[in-house]
Amino acid sequence: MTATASSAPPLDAAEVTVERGGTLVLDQVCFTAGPGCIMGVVGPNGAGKSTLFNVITDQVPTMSGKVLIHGKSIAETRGKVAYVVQHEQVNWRLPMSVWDVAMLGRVRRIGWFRRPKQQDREAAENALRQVGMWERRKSLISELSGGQRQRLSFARALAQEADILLLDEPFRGVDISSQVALVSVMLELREQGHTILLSSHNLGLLSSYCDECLCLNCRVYACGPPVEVLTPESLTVLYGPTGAVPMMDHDHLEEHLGHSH
Amino acid sequence: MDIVTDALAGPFQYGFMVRALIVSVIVGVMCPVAGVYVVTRGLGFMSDGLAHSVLPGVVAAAIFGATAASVFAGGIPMAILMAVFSGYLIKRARVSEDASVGILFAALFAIGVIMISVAVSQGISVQIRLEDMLLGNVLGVSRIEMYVTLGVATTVILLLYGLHKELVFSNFDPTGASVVGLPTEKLEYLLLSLLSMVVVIALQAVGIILVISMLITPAATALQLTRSFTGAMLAAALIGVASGISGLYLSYHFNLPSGPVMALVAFSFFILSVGWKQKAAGILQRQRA
Repeated sequence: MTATASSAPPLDAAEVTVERGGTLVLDQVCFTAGPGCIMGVVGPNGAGKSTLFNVITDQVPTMSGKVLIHGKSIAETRGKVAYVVQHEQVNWRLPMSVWDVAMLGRVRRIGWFRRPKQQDREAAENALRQVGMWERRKSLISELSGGQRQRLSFARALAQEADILLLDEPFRGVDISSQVALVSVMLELREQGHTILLSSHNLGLLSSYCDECLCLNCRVYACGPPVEVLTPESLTVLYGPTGAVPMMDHDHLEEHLGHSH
Repeated sequence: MDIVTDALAGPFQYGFMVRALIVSVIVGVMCPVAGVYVVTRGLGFMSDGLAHSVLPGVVAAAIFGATAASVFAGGIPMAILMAVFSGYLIKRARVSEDASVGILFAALFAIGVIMISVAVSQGISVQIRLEDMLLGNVLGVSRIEMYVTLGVATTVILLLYGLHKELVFSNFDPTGASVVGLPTEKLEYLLLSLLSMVVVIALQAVGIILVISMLITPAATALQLTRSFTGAMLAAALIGVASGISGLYLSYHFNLPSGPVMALVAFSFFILSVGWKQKAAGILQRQRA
C-alpha cells in the first residue's frame, strides 16, 4: 500500500487558474505535495478550497495551468486520487453495510459487469482493518456515527488503492474523541507514504499535526509548515481582522496524539 | 378438495387468464426490483410522471395503426425521451426536479387526453380505451404483448443486475463515483430509461394511475424488512408476485377490476410489514430493558 517512489511529486499544481461566471475563483495556484505529507488547506468560505479539490479530481476544468499526479495527467492516473466529500453529500440512508461501502472502492478495478474476486475482498478487508472498522463490517451505514462514517470513507479510499486523499472538512459534525481517532488514522497513512490534503476551519487541529499548510483565498497567500504560515499576521490577511481568533490552544490534541510528528 | 382445485385452476381454462397470469408475474418481479432503486433514490414522483407522460406516444401509435403493441411502440420511446428531457431541464434550465416533472408530465398527459378526444370526434378509430390506459386491463393482453413484456423485463433485470455496483456507487456518492471515472450522468440517464421501460410494461397490468403502486409499495415493504439491497430486491419481487397473483384471483372470483385489486393487496402487505416492524422493535426494547 505504500506510494511508489518516483522523482515526480504525487501532487503538483502549476499556475492553476479557474474562472466561473467572469470572476476568478482560483488565480495561478501553485503548490507541491510530497509523499507522506499531510497538507491543510486553509481559507475563508468561498476561498476556492472545494474548487481546488474539484480541479485535482478533474470535476472542474481549468482556464489555464494544470495539475500533475505523479508527473502524469489526471486522466492517466484515475483511481490514484480519492475524494472524501462532506458527509451530507453522501446518501447514508441506502440499505448498505460497512462492508458494501468498502467494496465500492473496488468497483473500478473489478470492472463493468464483473463480480469481485478474492483480491478485491482482501483489499476491502485490509482497508477496514486499517481504519478500525472491521468489527463493524456488518453494521448498516445508517447506524454509524459521523466519525465512523469518515473512517469508512477513508477505508473506501484505501480499498481503491488511492495514494492521494482529498478530505473536504473531515471534522465537521465529528465529536472530539472521534476527531482524535481520525487524526491517528491519518498519521498512520502518512507513515505509509500517502499524501493527504484536507480543508478545515479548525486551525488548532491543523497546526498541531499538518506538515504543511496552504493558505488560500483565490490565490496562494502562503505555503509551508504551520508554525511559519499560520501566524496572526497571515491569518489577518486571510480572514480579516478577526482571523487570528481561531488559533486556540491545541495542547488537548497533542496530549492524545503524543509525539507522532 | 375439488372446490380448492376449481378455485385455483378454474380461471386458467381461458387463454386470456393464462396470459394475464404470466404478465402479472413478470410485472410483479420487474416493477418491485426496479422499485428498490426508485425508493432509495427518491424517484417516486419521477416514475409517476413518466407513466403519465407516455399517453400521447401511445395514442399516436394507436392512431397510426400499431394496434397490438401500441403501448410499447409509442410508450417506450416517449418515456425515454421524457426522462432524458426532464434530466436536461433539471441540469440546464435549473428547474427543480419535482417542478420539472410536474410541468412536463402534466402537459404531456393533457396532450394525450386531447388527442384521444379529437380522434374520437373525427371518427378516427383508436384501438385503445382511456379507461384501460388509466387503470390497466391485464385480461386484455395479447400474445405479442406478452412476449414483448417478457423480452423487456429480461433486458431490464439483466442490466440492473449487471450494473448494480456502478448504479449503487453513483447513488451513494455521485462525486466519489465520478472521481474514479464512472460516467455518473450517463448511468443516471440509463436508470431513467430503464425505469421508463418498466413503467410502460406495467401499464397493461395496473394502468397509468396505479403503476406507482407496483413500483413503490412492494419495494418500500421489502426495505422495511431487510438489511441489504439484494435482500430487499428478492423480498420485493416476492411481494410483487404475490400481489399480482392474488390480485388476479380475487378479481376473477369477485368480479373486481384486476389493477386496483393488485394495488390494494400490495398495500395490505405494506401495512402488515409496518405492524410487524413495530412489534419487532417493541420486543427488542423489552429484551433490552
